[in-house]
Amino acid sequence: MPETDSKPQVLLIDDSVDVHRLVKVRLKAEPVEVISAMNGNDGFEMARAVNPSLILLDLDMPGVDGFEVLRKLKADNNTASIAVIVVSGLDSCADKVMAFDLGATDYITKPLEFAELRARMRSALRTQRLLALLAERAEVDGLTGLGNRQQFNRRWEQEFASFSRYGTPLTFAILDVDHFKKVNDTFGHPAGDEVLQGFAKIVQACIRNTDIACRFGGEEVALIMPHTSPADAQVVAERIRAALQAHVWPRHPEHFVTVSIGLTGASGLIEGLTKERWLETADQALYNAKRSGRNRVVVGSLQPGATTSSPAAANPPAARAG
Amino acid sequence: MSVPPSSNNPHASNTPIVSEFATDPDMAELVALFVQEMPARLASLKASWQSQELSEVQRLAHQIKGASGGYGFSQVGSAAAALEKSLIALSEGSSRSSTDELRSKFDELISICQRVRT
Repeated sequence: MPETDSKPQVLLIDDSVDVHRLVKVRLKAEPVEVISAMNGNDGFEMARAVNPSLILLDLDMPGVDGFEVLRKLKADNNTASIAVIVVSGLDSCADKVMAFDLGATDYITKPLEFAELRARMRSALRTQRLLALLAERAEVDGLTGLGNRQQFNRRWEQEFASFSRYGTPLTFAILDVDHFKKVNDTFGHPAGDEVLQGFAKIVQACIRNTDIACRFGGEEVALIMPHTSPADAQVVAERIRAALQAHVWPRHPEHFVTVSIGLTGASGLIEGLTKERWLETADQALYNAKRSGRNRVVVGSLQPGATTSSPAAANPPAARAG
Repeated sequence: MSVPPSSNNPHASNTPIVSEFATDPDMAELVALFVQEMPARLASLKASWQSQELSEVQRLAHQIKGASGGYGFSQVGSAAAALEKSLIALSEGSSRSSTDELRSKFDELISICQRVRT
């Protein structure tokens, strides 16, 4: 996450020493830090390592040419969202089309008009700042519509702090779809996505307005239940478990999907309890649920000294009824 | 801006050529570097010309063309551009100019480069 009090970095990838010197001097008065790479490969590695706010990419480089670097940058998750301004010695329409289609933000030609370079750079940085802000604020998981990991981290921090201060009940559950890998392997990834989406809808239908459900990983959902005792939370968890098992999947009505749930909470303050231990305990409970047959809710204890969790009452069915 | 038409005595002028950015304090160090590095560039140009490595001469001319503008030596840039253009035309087979003309453009560039000062 970018620090707000340090200058944005601009990575210049160009094989000409003169260009590096000139750009550094000409951008001296701008609130940016210019870093240099002399060839495409070094440039790509530096982009991955440093994650600059903007890349100025020379097209006409020997060896790995600019277009290839641009492709690599956009193909890599770590660097795909960095704005790239392509710099070229040619005012070629074909090159411009290719540059923009490959994901470049802008295209400027040599000889560099530095006032123009500065203006285009400022414009690109402005847009980048807004995009970064948007990504930060939009705390939603694209696939399921549940909160994303960022939202979870923020809300868990908040609820734990509230619990620590006021001692109001709080329960945390981690829900992990059973045999999810098998679903993907048997029916393909689109089916896997549908399962996650269906599961997410069921979770949202079963929880209360005050609960927070977030996608926690590939096939895991984290559920924060503020002002809820473990006993009451168990009711919610069991509701989810049963609903998912009963759900009929339109394209594969003969198959059913189940979930294992590890749940742990406190009705009042517990000495020496940390956020991390809370999550670990729930994770251990989940592990026990998987180990003891899946499709069940297992409650873990947050009491100091408690090591094992007790499997809860849910009776897993032998086969789909009706 | 184009190469001066009368190139029958390209070595006559020895008026120093200074950078358009001579009065810009930020650019002083860079201009000095460019001038300092010029003899090395000239040596490479002459060596490649001597051994008739015209593609290398072209590459060096292209580099000088690109660099000189940024340092404020547009006259150098024009001379380098003219030489590069002739060499490209020659290699593409579209040139009808003689080796004398090529030679004079080369000499013109050398002469102008030798005149750069801080």
